[in-house]
Amino acid sequence: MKKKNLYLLVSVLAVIGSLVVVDLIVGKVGEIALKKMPDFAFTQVSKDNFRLNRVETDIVIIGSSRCTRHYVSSMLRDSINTFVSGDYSIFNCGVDGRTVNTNSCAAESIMDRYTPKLLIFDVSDAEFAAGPRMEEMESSALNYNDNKFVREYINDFGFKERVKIFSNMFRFNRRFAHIAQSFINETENTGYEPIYGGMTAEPETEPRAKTTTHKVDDYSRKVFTRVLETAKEKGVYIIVATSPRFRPTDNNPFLADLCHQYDIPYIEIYDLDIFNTHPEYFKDKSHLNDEGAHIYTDLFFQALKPYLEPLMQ
Amino acid sequence: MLFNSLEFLLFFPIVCIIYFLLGKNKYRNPFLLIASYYFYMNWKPVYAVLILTSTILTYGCGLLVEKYAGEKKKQKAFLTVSLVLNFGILFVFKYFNFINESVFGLLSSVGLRWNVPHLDVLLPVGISFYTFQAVGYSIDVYRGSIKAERNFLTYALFVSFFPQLVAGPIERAKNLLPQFHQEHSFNADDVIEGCKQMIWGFFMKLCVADVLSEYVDAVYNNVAQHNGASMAVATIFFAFQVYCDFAGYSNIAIGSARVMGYNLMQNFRQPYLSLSIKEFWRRWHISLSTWFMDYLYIPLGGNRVKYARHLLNLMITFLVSGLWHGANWTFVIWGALHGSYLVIENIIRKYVYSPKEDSFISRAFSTAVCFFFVCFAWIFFRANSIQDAFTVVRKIFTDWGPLFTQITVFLHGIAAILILVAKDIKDNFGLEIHLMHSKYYAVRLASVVFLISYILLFGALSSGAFIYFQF
Repeated sequence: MKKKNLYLLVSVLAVIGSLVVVDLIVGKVGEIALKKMPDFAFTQVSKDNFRLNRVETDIVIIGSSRCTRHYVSSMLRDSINTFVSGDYSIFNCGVDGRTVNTNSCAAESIMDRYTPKLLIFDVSDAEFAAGPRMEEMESSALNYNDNKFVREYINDFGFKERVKIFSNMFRFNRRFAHIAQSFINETENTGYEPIYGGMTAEPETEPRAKTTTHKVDDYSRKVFTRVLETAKEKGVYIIVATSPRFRPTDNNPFLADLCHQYDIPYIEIYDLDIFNTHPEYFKDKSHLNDEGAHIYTDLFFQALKPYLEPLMQ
Repeated sequence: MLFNSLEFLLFFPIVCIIYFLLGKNKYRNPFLLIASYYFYMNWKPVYAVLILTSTILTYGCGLLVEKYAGEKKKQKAFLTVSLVLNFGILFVFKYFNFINESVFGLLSSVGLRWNVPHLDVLLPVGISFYTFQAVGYSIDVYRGSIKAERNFLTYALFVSFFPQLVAGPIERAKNLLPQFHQEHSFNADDVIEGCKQMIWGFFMKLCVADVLSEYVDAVYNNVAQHNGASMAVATIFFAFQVYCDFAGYSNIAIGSARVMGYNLMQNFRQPYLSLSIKEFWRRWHISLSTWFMDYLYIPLGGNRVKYARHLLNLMITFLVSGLWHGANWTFVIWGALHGSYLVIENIIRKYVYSPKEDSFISRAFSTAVCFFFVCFAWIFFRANSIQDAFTVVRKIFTDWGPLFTQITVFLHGIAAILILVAKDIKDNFGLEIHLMHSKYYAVRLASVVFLISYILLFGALSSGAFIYFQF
């Protein structure tokens, strides 16, 4: 072999070897940082990590950014505790940018770890249309080695994602800044993240046409159904809810049917005059602001009351 | 196929291994041709027909033009047919709907009807690049500056060579075609240098361009919601995004060709360190600038005509360059702005003031002024519409407020920009600081490992296509 070719071969091996060492160091450092990360911080990484590995409250609310912005968890906790004369703890596990698939993974992890007294799953038919997206799992992927549900969900994305996740550097890609941010943003809370500011909109002059029907992705249907079945099996009291949008043009027949089929309470406060006539309760068409969230939480509690018997002490 | 995809990371080494195992050009060239078409057809297979059509047209034109050497009229006729058909394809797929909508808008405004239907076609990736490369070949043969290529497979490879097929550099036949006739034996130095250039290209694309794009998109796709401060920052970020997106692609293209022993032309040379707009265009997208100079600006008379005509030639060249970038009035305005900059710069240097002092402060000032005007033009290049562009300009100058921040983009993006600027300054001023090319093996190794680790840890790995694909 020519000297230069040998040099090339040695260099390639040296680069690969060094990368393996760096990768192992990154994995070790990353896992230590994850373990030391504060429980409560308004970052996606911290919340994903908390809901997958640490949440232990009696009542858990799970969902997307609409969940984390819509359920004033401390208010809901106080209302429930007063009503049932209990002392239940609560955490709003909603995370920005997470839809039904990622939330189902989190719900399965929670139910595998312990048995919450009440699990409120905020979801809408629209979330079933997009199908699984790896971007949503990027923070959860940090737990790939330790969490069998995360592993299973990511493996379902196929061989390519399995190969990528094999590298610690890929797994922790752009996550260290988020982890660091979690240490800075540490705060005591119950998971509700208010937003402020309101929209304006012209009054509705004609009846709104409900024209959008969402196609339900098979994978999303499968994983959500599995959550409902697991809840039944483990004796977790689960309630499915759909919180408001501003003047929606769709509705949620799939969820209504599915919950009916599994005999699970479904609270749909999706298209309500009180919200449709008050754009100032919304930050945008999908998210209530703090004022709207308080009104919604109260309405939700009123709708929840008939289902709270299992929590009576 | 995207360079920044797992598929390419498998495709490229496999192609290289087979390429070197094949040994002789009579096997290698057809293999590279198949690999190039496979590379392109991964996107939308049917559009390979367009490359093939362009290849056949310009190949035939080349042979006929050469056959009728001395008969200028016939040669001109063949060249005209080639140009009309090639630009015709480009027009249909890229400009038809734009012209149609513009005419519709114009006629509607005076109350006339225009009912030519919208063409429902996707813009074929890289069509402007391979069309210009093939057309350049036809003109070169017509001018007699090169001989027509007789081997169809070799010529087809020249048009479709995968490293530079979809976003350049737009190669000249004089440079690239002869390389397909040379035997390239395996050269470890070329492999190492090519890989280093590819790694730097990936860094530019994934760590700078794609990271910054998150902020730029958030602001520019929602101009009504953001203030002037955020828009100013987004515009500066876009300047680095578009540079790193395109120069990153060029580096990966040049590096991957180098691994196989081919030399492609340099496409960028630290453009933001230019002291003037004229210099900027000698450093930015060099293969396109020189194409326009050779095949448009000089045939129009260049600067060997009356002064007013010379300035008009500049404007025409940059208007066409703007239109080349995209079928939208925003690109035309972008081109017009650069044309105007050059015209004004030319007049100032001729009649008002020509800087002679070469102090650091005067150079730094010139660089900053040049960067400012380039950034101003980028507003029109990036904005989704002319209205949006004017909103951005208005807000930048009148509506400042708290900056919209995305902590991770700022941290990762600015860190990567600092690395980029440091390298550009080192290269531009020839500073004797070497990392990937250090004389010490450990430093070279550490630099390469650092860059790859940085890309894997901080790059936007699930990002999208290159900006220039759309052109």
